[in-house]
Amino acid sequence: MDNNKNWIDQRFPLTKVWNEHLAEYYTPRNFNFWYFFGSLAMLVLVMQIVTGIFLTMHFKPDAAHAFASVEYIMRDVDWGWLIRYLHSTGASAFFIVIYLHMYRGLLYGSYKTPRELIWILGMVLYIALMAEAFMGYVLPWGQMSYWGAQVIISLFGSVPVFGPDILTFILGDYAVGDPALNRFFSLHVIALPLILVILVFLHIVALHTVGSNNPDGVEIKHNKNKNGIPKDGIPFHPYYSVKDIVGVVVFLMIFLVVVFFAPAMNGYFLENANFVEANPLKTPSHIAPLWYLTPFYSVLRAIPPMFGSQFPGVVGMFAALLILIALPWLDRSSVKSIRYRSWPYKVALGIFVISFIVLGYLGMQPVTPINALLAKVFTVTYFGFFILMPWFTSIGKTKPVPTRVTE
Amino acid sequence: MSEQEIDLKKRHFLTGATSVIGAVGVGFALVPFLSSWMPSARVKAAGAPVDIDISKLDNGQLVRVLWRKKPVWIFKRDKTTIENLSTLDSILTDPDSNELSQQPGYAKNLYRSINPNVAVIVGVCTHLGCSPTYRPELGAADLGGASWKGGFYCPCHGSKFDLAGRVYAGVPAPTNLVIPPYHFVADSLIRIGIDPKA
Amino acid sequence: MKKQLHEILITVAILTFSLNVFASTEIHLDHANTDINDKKSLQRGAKLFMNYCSGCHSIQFMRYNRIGKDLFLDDVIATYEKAKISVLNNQSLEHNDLTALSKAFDNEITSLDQAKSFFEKISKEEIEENLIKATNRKVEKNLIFTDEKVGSLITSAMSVSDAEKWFGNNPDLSLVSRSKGIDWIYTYLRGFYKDDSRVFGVNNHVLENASMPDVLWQLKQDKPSKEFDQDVRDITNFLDYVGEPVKLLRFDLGIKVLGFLFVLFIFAYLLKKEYWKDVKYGKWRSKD
Repeated sequence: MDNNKNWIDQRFPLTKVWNEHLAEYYTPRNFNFWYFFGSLAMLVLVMQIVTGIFLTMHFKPDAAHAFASVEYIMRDVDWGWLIRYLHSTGASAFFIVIYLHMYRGLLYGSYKTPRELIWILGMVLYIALMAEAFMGYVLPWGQMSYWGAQVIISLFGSVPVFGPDILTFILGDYAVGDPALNRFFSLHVIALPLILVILVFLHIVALHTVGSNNPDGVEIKHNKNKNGIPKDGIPFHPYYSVKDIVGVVVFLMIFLVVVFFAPAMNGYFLENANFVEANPLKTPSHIAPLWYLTPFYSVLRAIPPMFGSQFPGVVGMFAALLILIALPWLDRSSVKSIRYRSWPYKVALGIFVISFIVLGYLGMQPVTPINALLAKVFTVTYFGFFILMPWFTSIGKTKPVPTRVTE
Repeated sequence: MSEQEIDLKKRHFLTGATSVIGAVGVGFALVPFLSSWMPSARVKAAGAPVDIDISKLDNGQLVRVLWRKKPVWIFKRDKTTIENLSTLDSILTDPDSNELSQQPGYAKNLYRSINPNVAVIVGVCTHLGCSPTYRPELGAADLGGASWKGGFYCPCHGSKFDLAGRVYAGVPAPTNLVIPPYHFVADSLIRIGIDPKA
Repeated sequence: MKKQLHEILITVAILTFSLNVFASTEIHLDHANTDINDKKSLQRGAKLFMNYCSGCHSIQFMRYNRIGKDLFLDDVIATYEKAKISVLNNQSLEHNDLTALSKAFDNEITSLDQAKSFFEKISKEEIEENLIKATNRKVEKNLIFTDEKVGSLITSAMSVSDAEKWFGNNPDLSLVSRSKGIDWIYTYLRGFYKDDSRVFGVNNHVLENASMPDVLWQLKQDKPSKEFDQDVRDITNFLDYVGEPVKLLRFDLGIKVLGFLFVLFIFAYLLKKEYWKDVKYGKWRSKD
């Protein structure tokens, strides 16, 4: 056994990697509930890749056969229904996990120095994930796939001057059709998963270089014992590996309740209109993107056309997404964790969370005068959170941060 | 708390138990994925029994039908052909069809068929899966001259079979050709894919 | 922290509620009240569908033999099991038992002794296969009115071009329960009323100007309304099943899977607790 290990170690740094990233990777001992979601996101990524590989074996990326091939998977392929439900539920689960993971970052200031790059890589991951999910949703070729794609891609058509050309380039046709389905399939199963995996790798490399933040926002590396081991650190393995297993099992229980008992989640995970095959002649009475994209869709609808163009709305939508990247530089507070922050930040974060959730809800609803007004109000508060951040993070009295983590 | 106080036994037991249960779970989870590779309902429906009417078939004439995506040969044998079958024992690998997996019980006879006049054979070489060509002519010069009593010749690797699908000795193919399950629905109507009633 | 979360949740709940009040302006649908586990209802629904609907509507993602296996096989097995017990107890066999055994052995059975001798020479798998075959024959007799094979998809007898000529369009119903919902189907089928301005003399409360005739009118006329409602409920139930055949088994499977995970959870939790004793007492064990 030891001989084999030596043989490998002379040729590949197996023991070194194991120690650096697991057995001797020192992690703050005070992680709470919010710290499960990083490893859960990895789990869901692996699950999506595995189920996706198997779905690809039966799916036909052809406008004439795609819809039927999904039903073929659901009915004729042994256990195909389970693999498909795992994948479709997994998509929504991915975003739930990622949103909670990101919220954790906001709560404990995980994006602040020295973790700016981790945050930026994470944001790029998030955007790539949205593209991945959007293209995946086109594949079943139902009415929602088709018209959702039509609407989202039309956004690019609103770019001044080049819009129509960009649109034709993306679609390879004059409207969403077989060429779009085919290229989205390719991007969904090869290009974007590859990018996601590489980004996850970089995200973790960056994390393991600076070490994890924690609910107290204390840098454990500033307090080391004589052996150079952080006093508040514990090895990731076995302590957090056994803890994460518990998290994984609990997550799987909740996840599988949805898979087995409510895979369509009342139309939120699988929309009713998507059980009708795509029909270019008939738009469904109400279309909305899937829930994880709706906050940004709301922003798009809230910004009125200017100079006869939808473009400002499109810019607003992308701005709402991209402004998150600037977070490390907008936050001027000397304190990381919400536990020691001043009250203005707590209030602002509360308003931000409400804005995000309400915008998400409004994005699923038909536009009514009151909805339109609410969308405008919450779009303002959403952006307000970022624009006013340099101000409200520098006022108010923060509590003293302890030098060691608390129980 | 010192190191001695750690209950190592308990720790090992729990690690083992969790690992074993987890491994069982992974095993369960593999089932759906592996099963999804088995023939689907569509494939099974397409692999349903095939009927073939042989009333218009002349002696020596061969028809091919697809059953489960494989060619199945059906041809009628005349009296000479049937008589010739019993003269070939010395040059065949398995003249008595002792390899049981190659034919159903009711076709384990000299003719390897239900009715000696009618042959039903899966036309896939038992060597590496090519489909042999039908060479019924007696004494074909390229297939051994006078000793050739008609049969099948595989163009891929040169395996030879007689008109009952029995393999010649000394060729790459190890076993006789496969006889599919079939039965006569009527005198000249064959259903391939279902055994006759016991 | 917790308090803050709590507040966020309450605010969201209030907002969601008030938004919902503004949102609902849809047609009232009656509650279908179907039970997917009611096999008898599904069987009746299948027969009604094949008699009254399949002439014009296909369910093109469904196969006949799947319906047989999902809805009718249980009954065939049950009668066989009953006959088997009679044989094992040396009881005299009734006509029903003999038919059931004939199916199971795929041979004409006329006596107890004959049945016994078959039990000795036939394997369990063969019996299973024969029962499936018998179910397929039953499906062929009761549900297939064309010359389709039992493994075929259920397409409608009417050609697409005829359908377009007569009705405009008559959609495939494989997924109608998933796109429209079962309450919609139930209300729609019961929602026809007389309207002489329409081609077929009827209109519909749920789908204004529906181009479908009231195919169930004879049932509606011949039966008390309660029984008619049950017929419609059976059809609805059947379409619910057709929309997602796997619904019949995913609930049971889900409970088993969750049970298994719960056991795993207990061990995983104890394992975590055991290791974290080290952390709790301020010291972890150094590596071996």
